[in-house]
Parts: sequence; C-alpha cells; structure tokens
Amino acid sequence: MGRSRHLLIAAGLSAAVLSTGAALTYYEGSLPTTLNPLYAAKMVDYRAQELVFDRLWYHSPINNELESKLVASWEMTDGGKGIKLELVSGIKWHGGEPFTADDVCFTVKAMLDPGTPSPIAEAYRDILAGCTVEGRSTAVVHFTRFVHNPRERLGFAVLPEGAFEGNTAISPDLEFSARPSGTGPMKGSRGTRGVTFQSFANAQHNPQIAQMQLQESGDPLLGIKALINNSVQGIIEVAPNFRADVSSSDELALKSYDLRSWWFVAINTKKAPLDDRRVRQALNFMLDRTELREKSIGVKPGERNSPCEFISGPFVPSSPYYNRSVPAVERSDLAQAEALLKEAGMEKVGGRWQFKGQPISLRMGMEKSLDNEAPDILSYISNQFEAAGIGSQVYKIPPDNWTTEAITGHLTDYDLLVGKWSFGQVEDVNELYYTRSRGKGTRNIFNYSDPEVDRLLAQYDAAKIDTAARDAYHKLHAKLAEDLPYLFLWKLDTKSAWRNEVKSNTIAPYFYFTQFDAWRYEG
Amino acid sequence: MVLVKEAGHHLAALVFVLAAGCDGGEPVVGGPQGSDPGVVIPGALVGRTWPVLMADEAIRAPFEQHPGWAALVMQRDHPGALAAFSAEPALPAGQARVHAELAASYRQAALLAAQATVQVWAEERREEDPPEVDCLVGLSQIILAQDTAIASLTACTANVSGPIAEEATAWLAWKQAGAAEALAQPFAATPGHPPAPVVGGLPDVSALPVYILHDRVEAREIPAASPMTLVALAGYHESAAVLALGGEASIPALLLAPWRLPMELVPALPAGTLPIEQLFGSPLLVAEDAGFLADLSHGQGLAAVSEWKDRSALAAAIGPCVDLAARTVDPACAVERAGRAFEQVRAAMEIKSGGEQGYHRPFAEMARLGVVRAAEMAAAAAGDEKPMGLLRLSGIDLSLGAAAEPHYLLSIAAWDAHNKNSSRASETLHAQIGHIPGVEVARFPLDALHVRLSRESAPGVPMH
Repeated sequence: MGRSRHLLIAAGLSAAVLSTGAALTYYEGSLPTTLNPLYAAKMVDYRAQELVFDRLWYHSPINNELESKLVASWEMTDGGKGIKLELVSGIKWHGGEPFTADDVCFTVKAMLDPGTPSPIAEAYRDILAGCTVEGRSTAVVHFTRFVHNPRERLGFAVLPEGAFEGNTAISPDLEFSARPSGTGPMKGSRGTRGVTFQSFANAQHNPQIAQMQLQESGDPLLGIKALINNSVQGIIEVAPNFRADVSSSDELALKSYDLRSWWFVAINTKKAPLDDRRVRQALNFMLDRTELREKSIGVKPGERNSPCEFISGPFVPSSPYYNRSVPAVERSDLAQAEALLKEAGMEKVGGRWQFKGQPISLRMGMEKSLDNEAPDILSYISNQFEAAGIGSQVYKIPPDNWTTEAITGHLTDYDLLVGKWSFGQVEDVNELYYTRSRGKGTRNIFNYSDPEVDRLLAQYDAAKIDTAARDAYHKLHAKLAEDLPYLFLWKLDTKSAWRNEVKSNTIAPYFYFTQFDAWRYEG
Repeated sequence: MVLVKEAGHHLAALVFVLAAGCDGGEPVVGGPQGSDPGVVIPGALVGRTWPVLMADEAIRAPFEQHPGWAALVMQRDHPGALAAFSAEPALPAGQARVHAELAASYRQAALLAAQATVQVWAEERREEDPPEVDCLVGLSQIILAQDTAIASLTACTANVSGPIAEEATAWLAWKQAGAAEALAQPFAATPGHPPAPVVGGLPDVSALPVYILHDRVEAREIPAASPMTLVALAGYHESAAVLALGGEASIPALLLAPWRLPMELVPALPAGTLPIEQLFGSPLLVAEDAGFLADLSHGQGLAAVSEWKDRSALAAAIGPCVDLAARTVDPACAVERAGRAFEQVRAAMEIKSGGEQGYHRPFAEMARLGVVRAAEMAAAAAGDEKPMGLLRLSGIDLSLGAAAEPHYLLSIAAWDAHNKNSSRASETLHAQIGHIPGVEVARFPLDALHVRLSRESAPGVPMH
C-alpha cells in the first residue's frame, strides 16, 4: 500500500469530525515579510497583498483582458505621455476614508521619492514622471516618454495617502507593513503566527468569504494530511512529491498556478577559492542534477511531462530570452571537475580537495521554506560535493532573514546559497546581476560584479527594439553559464491544492487572488 | 477530403472553403432544460461509455496487450504510438487514431501560430517590424478566415520579394479566387510541405524552412516560419488517417470536426459512428459524442445540446447547465456535473469489474474532463466568453498526466495567444515540443509576442 493510500485512510478517520466553520485557512511556505506592496520581496508577500490592495490595472485571469476596479474611464493626454484617470466613485479604504485621486497621486509620488528605498518603486522610476490631481476623482499620471499601451504600465497597488500623513518617503518598517489599509476585498493583519483577513465589502468588491487565515506550513507531509483532514482548506505550493496524493483524493483538487520559477545555487564570487571561475565551473560539473531531481523532486530520468526541467541560465526554457544554444549540465562529470580544480591550483589529498594546504569546506544555506518544495535538497547537494571531495556545512535560513539579509547582499559569510526566483510576464533579471550601486543590483545576493555582464544588462535596459533586448539576454545567458555566479538548477512548475468545498477559486497567474471576489467556501 | 494529384506526387490537401460563419445553426429559443434528473448520464448511456466497457476484461485485454495503446493513452506519445501501431502486424485503427490526433494537433499549432502572428505583427505592430511581417500576417489571417488577409498579402507582394513573397502570392491568388479552389497550388508554394501521405508515416520536420527577417532599425535577425507549414502537416495526417481506414473518411472527419480551422468549412456534418478504438482514452465517452461535438461546433451550434441529449453522454451531462434561450452555459453547474459523471462512471466500472481496480480512476477522470470540455465547447458555440474561459481553466487543471491531450492543450495555447497571454501559451507550447514534431514553428511569433508584451508591461522585479 503506497503512502498516498495511507494518507487517504488516515484522513478518512477524521475528516467527518473536523470542521473549520466559515473561516478558511490556507498554508504558505512562509509568512509574508510585509503587507506593504512597495516592499514585496517574496511571492507570498504579493499573494497576500493582492487580497488587501487594488492594483490600478490588472489582467483578468480568465481571458487576460486588462481591467481596473479603481478606474471608471481614461484617456490619453500630453501626446501619449500622460493618462487621465476618472476614478470609480464610492470606494473606501479599509479605515473608512474615501478613495480619491489624491491617493493615486500620492502613490506615484511615493514611488518617485528617493526616500522610498523600494526596489519595486525603483523599477517604476524609469517610466513614471509624476501625477497631477485634477479633481476629487480625476488624476493625470505622467510618463517619462511616450509609451505604447500606457494602462499596461500602471500595475501598481494604490496606497492611502492618509495612512502616511502625506509623507511620500515611505520606509519598509512602518506599522502599515503589518496592518495596512487597502481597498481590496480583504482587510489584512499580520501577526506572529499568521495573517488574518476579514472581508470588506466595498463599492468595487463583494467578497463571499468572511474570514481567511494564512498560516505557515511546516512539514509538507503534515501539510497534506492537514488538508485531507480538513484542518486547512488550501496549500499554495504543493511539492511534486505530494501531488499524486492530492490527485488521488476525491476531496481535493490540484490547481495550476502560472508562475515562472527557477532554482539556483548562488556562489559567493568574492571569496577564495570561489573567486576563481574554474572552481565555480568545477562545482557545476560536480552536481548531478538528474540525481538531485530524482531524489528531491521525485522525477525519474526520462520521465515525460516532468514538472521540473533543467536550465543553463536565468530564464525558464519556454522563455524567448532563454538561449537554447547553451546546454544544461544534467549529469556530473567528475573528470572535468578534477581537471578544472587542478588547473586552478587545488590539490586532492586523501580524497579531499585542498586550497592553500587547507581542505575546502563550503558554508551552504537555503531559505527554510524551499525544503517544502524540494525536500532535503540542501543535503543532497552537500552529499554530492562531499562525494566529489568538497566538504560543506549546511544551514537553513529563516524566511525573514533571507529577505533582510540574503537578498540585500549581507550573507557574505556564506559560500553558497540555494534559492528560487519567480517571475510573471516580465522576466527582467537585471536586479540579480548588476553590480550593486546607485539603486541597481538590489537583489544581487553575493554582490557579484562583472563589467561584461553589466554591459549586457545595460544593453537590455537601453534596447529600443525587441530584438535588441532579446539578443542582449541571449548573450547574458551564455555569459552567466560560463562565469557562473549561479549554478543554475531547474525550473519547477507550481501547483496548488484546495479542498473541493472551496468553489470558483480561479487562480490568477503570478498574483493568485486577483479573482477572489468570486471565491466561495461551502465548508 | 480529396487527394490532389499533381506533378507526379500526391499532395495531401483538404478541401477548404471560405468560412461563411462556422456556427451555421440558427439561434434556438427555448426555456432552460429541465431539473436535474438525479443522474448525470442516463443509465443506458453509462453502460455504453468506453470506460465502463473497458471494465470488461475481454474487451480490455487487446488494448492492454498492445503497446501502441499504452503509448497513446497513458503517455500521449504520438510518435511512439504510431511506430507501435505500424509494427507488423499493423493495427490500422490505431494508426488512424494517431494520425487523426496529429492532424488535430497540427491544426491547433497552426491556429496558435496564426493568433500569435496577428497579435504581435498586426495588433501590436511597431515601426521596427520588417516588411515581411505583412506576408506572415496575411497567411495567418487566411487561417483565421479574416477578410483583411487580402490587404495584408497585397502589401506583402508589393514590398517583399523572395520565397516568402512567392508563398504569399500563391495564397493571395487562392484567396482572391474565393478560397474555393483546391489547395494544391498554394501548398506547392508553401515551404516544407510534406510528401505524399503514407500510413504510419511521420514526415521529417527536423529542418523545417525558416525565414530569417531583419528588423528595420538595427537589422537584427528575426526567425520566422510559415504557419501554412503546420496546416500542410495537418492535411498530411488527415489523409494518412483516411488511408489507414481504407479510404473511409467519416471517422477522421468526426474526430476532427471540433478541431478544424476557421478557414475550413465542413460542407456537411460527417455521418458514421466511432468504434471503441477511436474512443478509448479520449474525452468522447460514447460513439454519439463525436456527432454531438461536431454538431455543436460546426452544425446547429448550441441547439445540438437538446438534439443529442438522449444519445450523447456528454450532451446529457451538460444539458441542465445550458440555457438555450439565454444562450449561456453555467460553468459551476458543468464542473459540478463533471464531478458527478466521474463518480457515476467509476461506480459503474466497479460494479462491472466486481471491485475497484487501478485503472478505474484515470479512466473516470477522462470522463470528467470530457464533460468539462463539452461544456466549454457549448459555451464557445453560444459565444458565452467568460464561462468558456472559466471552463477552459478547469480543463487545464483536469488535463493532468494521461488526460493531457496535446491537441486540446494546443487549442488552449491558441486561445491564450489570441488573448495575449503569452506566458501560458509559451509554456504550453514548450511542453508539446518534442512530443509533436515540428510544432516549434509556432514558437517564432509567440516568442516575438512575449518579448513585446513583457517589455511593455508594468515593471517587475524577481521575487523569491
């Protein structure tokens, strides 16, 4: 009898007596770092914020149409360098104040304020020039240049001016980050053990679920058991290993969640001996990704329709930016690795590689919640290095530390960090590889710096036509596959699981809860 | 279906006629169907569904023993299945089934390429785009049965020379002649058109011709290919399916009816019935379901639901969810009834087998998917876009593992391309490359669309 069968039987014993009442609970891999949309750093942040705030424009998850719950009508102004918005009337903030054009312009100004140290705001500074209030419900957003499809550019969440007392320099650590006021379907409050969402009927929202709890999942097996037992009603990310359990249950549904995610091992290129490219290339050849994938994700070699596909660069293989002429390393090649290490001056003594007479030992870390998706991945990688003669110590990093220290380039005492990046429609990787300076490279984990890479990233930024942007990223892909600030692992599909009592639960690509008003819970 | 003989070789070609409204049925006015009778599929029909028939070991055994069925139904490995069915002694019914499904897949890939081409190089055209995109847009508009094709192809032939213009010229002539001529001439000008059809054959598409275009600003390369190459491949496999059945065209015609391109007009509803070899492992539960879906997509339209409800399991299952007067489909109702159809079929299988067996669940899941897809087609026939979209999302969720039919998923990708949802379309197409040889032709315009849309989107930063 397989594990799946055991789970179902175990679930059957208690499913009938456990009920969560009207409140719906779901598991995320970790709690959101912040509910302030300007400081989202993880997908869980974005997903939670989608419940609390309205973005000016968004794409319908059903037919991809561009829609707005905040804007009643719009027109182009200033020869295509501006857009005049007429706002929907009657919308209130969760605190009861009316939503007005002042709020829209406050948000734009906050993003443009250099005192707002937000990478998301920084990304908008290239395109937004300002905002003018022309009446209580009329705002004109100005662009830095003529843009095609201006509404597409206005995908930011609108913030309440009143909550910041008009101060456009917004810092990440305000009370607002834990107990924000939005115009979205749910009012959110972050505690130490979860986030509570309460429905908030508004002029543009009529949520059907009164209360919802976001909780941090622990062991993925226990998470699936809790779902089957109806202790929780949804899991946002189900590890591939457990998807068969969900599929074989009559009470659960596996749901597609469109997210472009890829996994990596970032290398500290500032630390010897990893500052030597040949050593990094040797590590690349030491990894047997096929074995890693089989052990951690459960994908058999040659399996068709695998949720996990190897990559050789910083894009998912279906992306036009992926350089398909760069092959992925699927199997280890210890002979190549050995040759490279010797060339770099390493010595192998008693089966262990030494650098300057000392055995090489790498300090490896990984954000804790990734273990839910790829169980024991850190240990498997460590074992493969160990078998090839490189020692390592492994550490699981709490999610908050990952956000505040790893992404910000402060975990420099580590040699390797295992991580995952997720993307939506935009696959801009510049923040990952630009040399950290003057607002660039805000997600450059080990402060990697290479002039050729910077040049290619600048080419992408400056590209006036699509083919130039594509070509810049193809070259970047090839360059990174050679220079290896990251060991690129794989892209991994994301699937959610929800109990069947949760109805009409359309999942939006990337943002997830965009269609939340239609969700119902018949528990 | 005709085979056109020309210059000493067969050119597989379909009789395409100018599409003058694919849903030829008159709107039907009537009240909502009756209340739920208690079961989703009438008892007599449940017993005739292929999953329940397969619960009889004697019926199932030949399917279990032939590796072609495992490759086709459990792995959706069409090249592998075709090879297995073609090994001596060949199984013509299996060969026909694979060829028909490949014909459907290439049609949907062509539709995907056409939608992406029109979106990127007509709807979102930019000054930097090379003049040859007029040719590709024109060819795509022919596939989509859009009258603007003539203007696009005329612009192409006036400003462009070389093979791409020659192809455009041939298709322009065809279109200007009323699109009623046989396709021999335009296909002859289509690069990479396949050879004469052979049963069990899989044309070599390893070197499909690619046009290299150059943007007007920096003269960087833009790879492109004719979407008509995919249409020609569809024609090849449809012809091969007919040949496999000794010239009997009605079975492939029935199977292909829902998957035909807008440029095609089905002259008359295909008659005939489907043997179990054409149903096994598909979302068609009983033979009449094929006729129902053909009628729904190319015949009476939504009225087919009431017309077929006593004969077709799928029509019976979705009937109460369809409001003929309002021309709407209730997606929640359809999903709910699909779940009940799953239970009903599984229970009937258990009774017939004398207990639960491992194959019951995956077979019953195909029944569930069949009901959702039928409802989706009904919504499409009604022009009821939002329910159709919701049902498509359900269809994606249910198309897991053995239920992941390439032609269905490619049809969703084509819809996504039309909706400028280039991310999901790219991912779906990528998953089929390697399974359906040659569909990567559709990647060129889709890649171009994705780059364009992503560069004109709200800024995004990588998220952990």
